[in-house]
Amino acid sequence: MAERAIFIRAAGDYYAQADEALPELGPLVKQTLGAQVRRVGRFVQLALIGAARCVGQRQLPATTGVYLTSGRGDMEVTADVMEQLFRDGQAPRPLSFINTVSNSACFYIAKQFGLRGRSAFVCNRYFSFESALQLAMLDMEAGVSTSALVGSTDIVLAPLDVHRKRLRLAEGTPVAEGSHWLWLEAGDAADEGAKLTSVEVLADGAALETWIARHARGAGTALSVGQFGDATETAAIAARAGVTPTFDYRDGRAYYDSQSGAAVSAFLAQRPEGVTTLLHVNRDAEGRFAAFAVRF
Amino acid sequence: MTALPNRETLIAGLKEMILAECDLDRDADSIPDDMALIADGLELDSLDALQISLAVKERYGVRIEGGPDARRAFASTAALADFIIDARTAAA
Repeated sequence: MAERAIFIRAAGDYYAQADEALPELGPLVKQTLGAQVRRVGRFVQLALIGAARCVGQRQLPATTGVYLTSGRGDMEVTADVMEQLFRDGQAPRPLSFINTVSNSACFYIAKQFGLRGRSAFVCNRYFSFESALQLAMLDMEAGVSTSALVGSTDIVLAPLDVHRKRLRLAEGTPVAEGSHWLWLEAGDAADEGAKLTSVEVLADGAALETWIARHARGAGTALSVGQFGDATETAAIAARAGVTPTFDYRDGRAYYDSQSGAAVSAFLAQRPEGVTTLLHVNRDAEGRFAAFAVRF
Repeated sequence: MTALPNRETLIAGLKEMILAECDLDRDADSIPDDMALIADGLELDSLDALQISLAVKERYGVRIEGGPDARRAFASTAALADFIIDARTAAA
């Protein structure tokens, strides 16, 4: 039996730095999907836009799973329900209440693309995209699914000064909305294409050094540092493993939690000549690392 | 609780309210007074009905309770207006 691998078949993104006048997303949803989607807020709209840009005109296998992640989830609907309950002393509106279940975004995506596979929503402050990617990869390696739509979504709520306080950001920090999606599919390892070869959470720098050494492919390796990573620390660890951080997918991006989601699509779009492998490294506040590898 | 306008104005207001509450992308003028709200017609579902029920309670102080009430109230916007008028008259 041929060895199997997890291929990255497609990628799609939405990214926009925010100012006080946040753009209405309804028209973009309608333009992207070809129809209005009722009863959804900004979070689901952003998820749908990013996913639709990834899927394009393809018909994904009906068994495709949906793995969605976010740093903070649907803050808009959560704030709305909390204000109705505690500020106004009223029962929340049903449509708001039902969308406080974060996985409802997966429902709208599954419905839009005709998917019946498993769905999961994971929320993680530092490793949001990495967590969803790892979950999807584990399911695919275990044979639970052979196709997965993996994405991250983070929204901004006006006013921006309140949004920054919610995110504990310094005054004036530029903030953005982002939605990044990958379609993964199992295939014959001998086939050409971008493959997701590893997603791991590592306990410390020593474990990261070992991981980098195992997955690097000499001069054909690019390494990117996630937004929570310390560039100097990561460069030192990578250097001990013989790799130099060379790929800056962030390119001056404003803050949103799940920026790591942009790394793969940026690599696929901009792959430097001679580079066959992307190693992406992120870090949390406790000194753990999350890392994933993409290889052609 | 707001005073009820005349029936025609009430129907027009209910159409606007339904469009807003149910996030429908169409003009109020395109909804005939006797168009069914649920399933055929405006194609709303039970979640929409619940949303409208809460909005009617908030705006007009009228509760739509149980199946028989709901079937009558959601037959059309005209029927919903009549349901509200009847309930307010009975409570006066």
